[in-house]
Amino acid sequence: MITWLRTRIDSFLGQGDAAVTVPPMDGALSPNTRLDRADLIAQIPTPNDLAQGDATYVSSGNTVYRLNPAGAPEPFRHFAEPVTSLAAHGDQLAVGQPQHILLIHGSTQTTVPVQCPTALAFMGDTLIATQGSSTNAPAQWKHDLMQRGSSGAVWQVTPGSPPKPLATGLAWPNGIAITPDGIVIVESWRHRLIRLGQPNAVLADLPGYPARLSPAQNGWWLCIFAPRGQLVEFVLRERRYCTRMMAEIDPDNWLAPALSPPKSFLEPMMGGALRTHGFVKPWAPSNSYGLLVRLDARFRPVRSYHSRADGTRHGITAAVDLGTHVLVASHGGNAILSLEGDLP
Amino acid sequence: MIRDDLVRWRYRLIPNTVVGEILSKPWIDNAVPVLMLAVLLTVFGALVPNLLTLGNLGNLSQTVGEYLLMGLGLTIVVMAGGIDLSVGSVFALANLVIIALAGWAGLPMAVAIPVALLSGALIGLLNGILVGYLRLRAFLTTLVTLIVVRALVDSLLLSYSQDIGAAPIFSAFWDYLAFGTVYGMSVSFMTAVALAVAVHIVLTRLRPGWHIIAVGGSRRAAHNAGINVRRTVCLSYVASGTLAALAGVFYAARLMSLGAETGVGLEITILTAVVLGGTSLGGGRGSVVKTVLGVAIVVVVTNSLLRFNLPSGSSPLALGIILLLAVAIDVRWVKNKRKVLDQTYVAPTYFELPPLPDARRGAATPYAVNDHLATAEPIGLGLLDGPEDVILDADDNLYTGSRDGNILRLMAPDYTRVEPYVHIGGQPLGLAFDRAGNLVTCVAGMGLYMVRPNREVVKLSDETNRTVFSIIDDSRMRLADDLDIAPDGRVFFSEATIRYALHDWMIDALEGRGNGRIICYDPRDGTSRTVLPRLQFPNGICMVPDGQSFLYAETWGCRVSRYYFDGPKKGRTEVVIADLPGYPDNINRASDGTFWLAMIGMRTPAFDLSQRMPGFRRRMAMKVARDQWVFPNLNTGGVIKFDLTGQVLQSLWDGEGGSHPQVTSMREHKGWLYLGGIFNNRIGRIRLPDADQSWTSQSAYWGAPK
Amino acid sequence: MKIITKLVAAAALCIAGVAGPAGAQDASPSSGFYNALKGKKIGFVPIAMGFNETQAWRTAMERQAAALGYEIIVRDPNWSIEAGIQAINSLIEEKPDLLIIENIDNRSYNRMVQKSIAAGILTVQTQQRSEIPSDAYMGPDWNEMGRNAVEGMVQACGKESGKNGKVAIIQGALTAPASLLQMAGIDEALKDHPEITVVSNQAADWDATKAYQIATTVLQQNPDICGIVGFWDVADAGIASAVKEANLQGKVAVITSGSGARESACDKIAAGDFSYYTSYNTAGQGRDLNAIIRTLLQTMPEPGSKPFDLVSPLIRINKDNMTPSSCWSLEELAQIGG
Repeated sequence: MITWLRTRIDSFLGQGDAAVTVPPMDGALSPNTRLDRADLIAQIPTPNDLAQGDATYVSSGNTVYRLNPAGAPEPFRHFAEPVTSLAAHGDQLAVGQPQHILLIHGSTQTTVPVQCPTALAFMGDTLIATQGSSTNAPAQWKHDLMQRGSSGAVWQVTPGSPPKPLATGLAWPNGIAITPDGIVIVESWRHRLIRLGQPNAVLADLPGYPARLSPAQNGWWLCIFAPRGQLVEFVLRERRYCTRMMAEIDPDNWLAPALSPPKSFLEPMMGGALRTHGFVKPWAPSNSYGLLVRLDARFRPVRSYHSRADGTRHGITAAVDLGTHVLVASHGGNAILSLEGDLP
Repeated sequence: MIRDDLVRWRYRLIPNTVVGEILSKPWIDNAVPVLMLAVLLTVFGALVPNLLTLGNLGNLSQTVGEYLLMGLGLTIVVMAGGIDLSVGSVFALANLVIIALAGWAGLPMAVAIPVALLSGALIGLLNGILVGYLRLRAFLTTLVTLIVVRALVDSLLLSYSQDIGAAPIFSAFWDYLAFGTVYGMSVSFMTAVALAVAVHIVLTRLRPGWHIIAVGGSRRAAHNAGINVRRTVCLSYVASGTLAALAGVFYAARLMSLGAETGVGLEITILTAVVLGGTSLGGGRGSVVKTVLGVAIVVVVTNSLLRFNLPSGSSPLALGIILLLAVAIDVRWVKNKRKVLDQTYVAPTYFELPPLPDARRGAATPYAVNDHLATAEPIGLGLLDGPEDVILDADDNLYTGSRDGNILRLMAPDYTRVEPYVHIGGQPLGLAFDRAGNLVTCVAGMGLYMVRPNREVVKLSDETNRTVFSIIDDSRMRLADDLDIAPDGRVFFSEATIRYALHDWMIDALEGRGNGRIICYDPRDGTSRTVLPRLQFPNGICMVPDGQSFLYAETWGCRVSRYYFDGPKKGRTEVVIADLPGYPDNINRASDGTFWLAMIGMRTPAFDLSQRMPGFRRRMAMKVARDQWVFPNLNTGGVIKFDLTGQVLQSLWDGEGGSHPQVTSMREHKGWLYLGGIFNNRIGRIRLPDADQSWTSQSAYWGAPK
Repeated sequence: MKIITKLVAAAALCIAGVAGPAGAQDASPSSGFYNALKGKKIGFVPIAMGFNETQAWRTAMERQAAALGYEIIVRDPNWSIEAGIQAINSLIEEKPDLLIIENIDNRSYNRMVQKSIAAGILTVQTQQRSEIPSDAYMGPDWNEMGRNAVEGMVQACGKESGKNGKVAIIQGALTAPASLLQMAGIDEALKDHPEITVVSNQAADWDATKAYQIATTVLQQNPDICGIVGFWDVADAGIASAVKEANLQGKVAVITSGSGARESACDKIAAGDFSYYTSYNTAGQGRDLNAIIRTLLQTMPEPGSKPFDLVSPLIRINKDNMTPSSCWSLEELAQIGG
């Protein structure tokens, strides 16, 4: 009864759980145009994940590319199904696909039955995998968000034994960091990073939906694949609208976060995104955004790289630190970017 | 869907525009004092016997009259941004002066009363000069006058009170002032009421009143607007002093008393009344009605408390607490009204569009999006701001409106030279030449205007008949949009919405209601009448060559209709295109007898769905910041060509929105199609190689130029 | 047996007597007396409640009202003429049998007194008289008060005192009869005492703070002054403290007048604050008011037809003649007053 009342009051006043406020991008997250100015390594359609073992790999669609010594991607392997995530360790490669994970070691290929693997990471010879949802496929991430899904899990895959769940009930786990103190998991729909086995988030209230984590020198790279916005937060609380939208409208045209700037006139427009005098304002509200955050070893943001509403390098899904430079995958910008010099 | 039907009927039966519209009225500020008065009357009326009897009200009417007179004066001063604490002393001074002159000196009333009023006016003038011209602080200055005048009265009383006080006054008029009644109410009360009406008219309808409000609102802005701030402030004190003196005269007539207590602390009582009514001490906001309410509240409270037989001093204490409460409520009200209004003014209703035609690239419909307009040749790039409509004259010069209220002329043949043709104000939108070569234009925020060839600007119409029962005043035109001229000279023009001004026009899309109308201006008798009410953002208007009908586009309704204003089908409306894939704007004639239709944006499934869920949009307007509301997609636009049967023949788009993301108008002229856009900084033109290379809209309407 | 019967009868009589009016059919107070008073409504509009005079009257009147079964309705305008008029108006609307008005000056309530009489209400004015006569007036002879004050001046500063005869006068409210008439009385009496010179004459509006300020200024300007005359003890406490602060107590005589309440009169005289005090003895005034009420309600004259005055006898008090019964207190009044 009290909960019901609380919910009604919150809903009326727009507070508590019903609040549609979004944390601002300030401090270390202050906007800039660093991603738009970053060097373009290669134009690849919808790059999804990056991995570094003995070589550097890029996944895109059904294909995994390998960077040649000059840094240019060359097709490495082609699969029958889309590649949803990627991890490499020495000469081992783990490839996530909608229904399972392929472990590739030289010419041997093992299939691990973990559905919807959204991120993979090797911990020694063990593979840690996040399962975004137990009901939705990776491509249906918008559905999972709109359903307010929290059926994700984390699996530990040891060669020769069945996968073991490390955690369940997660809201689209979408990134992994292996730290000396344990495993840190990205929970996209709850905009936070959690350490498995600990109650408190290591980083919370992000202004966007976080994706993969990858190690940096004395810290981490955190990809934010889409921004949070008041409108989407509001839509998420409008359950009837959500249901009808999911039933009646093509996901590309939803009021939902997106990986790329608007591609079609069928996509909804927020008032502030109106083109005036031929331009979209950089601060216009937008369903897509490019944001890469450099975290320190304690997962606190120290610096960020942006592509704003008027930019194109949106939907940052993966980054890999190569020491001299950082490769960044912009899903919406169809580009592999290189950021020079990871300043301490 | 049954649920949809329920929602549709719910919104059809109970219009939810009322709350927002009432909140947007200035008189709603009176709600707090009215409510307070009602509560007080109920509570005290129940507790205090006889409080509301006629006898008691008659007894109080003298007090109310005097308070109201002083309240009116103080209201004027406070609204001009000042404060007058000297009213109590002026009141006492006038009381002394009138008794001295009429009684002791034996002067006739015709002399004594004006002199008493003059004494108040002089004190007011002193205040006015000190505060208005010498720019002293109003509070301190009038506090000093309060003390000085009081000291003056006291010293006069010390010397002369026995002599003055002993002299009787014999005058019928004097007794009439004291005991006369008009409709059962005292003369002072009726005088105060009459003056209240007068002051109300002055403050709301006449120039001096507007000056007072402007000065109170912002001295600097008023000064910049050419108002003589110092004189206005000075005169407000003169008015206050005179009115306080008038109250003093009535008091003298009533009591014939030279009591030393006369008028002591009265300034606080009156100030309480004024502030309690809701007149802001910051100036610029208030009204006579508020003061009337405030005076009523103060009198009811003091009279009731007196009857409660409370210990001494509790009455001023209660007044003080009420004043504090009033100020607190006033502050909260002012602070939150805007917020509540913003949240409640947007009143969406149910609206279902027909299925969305496929306009995707390569679609098999005539709407398939392409990039024809992306290569349009830019004209005046960067020199224009908001060329909503474009038109060309017989010499091929180009005319367009701009956001700063000008009509600009771009000179043929290369259109690189831009000159302001005329300045009207508002934002000129739709343009049309009449038979005599006058340029008729719809000006957003102003109405229908005409520019003669000698650049003389003439107002044709800025009001139409007001709708009965409409809360907002819809007789004034907020957003005149596009027009066309019938062969007989009548001008049919659209007012896109009566609920929003130009800067908010997009919000009208969220409502999904017919907020707009088409108005006919008849030059023969200069009248304007609404011919088609309740249209969904009526926009483009174009005469059909039959001379009996015109086409009009309803932007948010995504349709084009034809209305017969003459002929056998007079009064009928036919839908020509019911299911556009986007939002239509202006309509103009094409050289081949068909019509061009500008498309300002495209329908999106997500917004179309929200149109069927009014509650969703209402909550969105309440909870989400305005720039993040979902709107029609106005970042892709183009031009469609259609004929009278509703068949779409061709469409030209800027698929990427790079140069013409919104097209609000287009005009064919000698083989070119000129494009306007309300958010654009250019006019574009593309070649129409297959069109009649000599055709102009001008000659099609009014025949070949002589 | 006879003796017993007599005793019983006597006891019965005693009980009847003690039991009061109800059983006193044939007793000496006529039944008309009690009937005339029982259930009556009396309105009282003082200048303000909360000071000696009005509190004393109220206490006295309420004591009698409780005993005789009628009601006193008090409306307190708290020094405001406007509120006073509203109070009287509202009472007239309520039609009491008798209305007691304490005038704030000689004119403000003129119309109200007329109106009250016209409304058929027995109207009594206290302390100060308005220009309109009503059924009764109760209060001191202010003129005599003024003459008394001169007597006080002469005692302190006259020929025999060997002082310079300089006095200051601090009046009440200028237009109040209490001030006006007292001043007139002073002026009149001073004609016989040319040795007394008035160096200052100002009004303190019955306000102790104002009186203090005026007295302080007067003492600064005339350090050799012999006496200060005030018109009301409550306000004149301000004069006394000004004198005390100037270290002139005993040198400057403070001559005042008032209700004769113990703490504001006798206590202050004992403390040396006041040297001469004229009391109109409010305790006695209370009894007078009660007498007026009893009389008028029994005789029920046509309102305004037969006005009469009850002038309060004055008591002159100084340190030498003061006795415990020179003054009164509210506690005593509540017990024995009226």
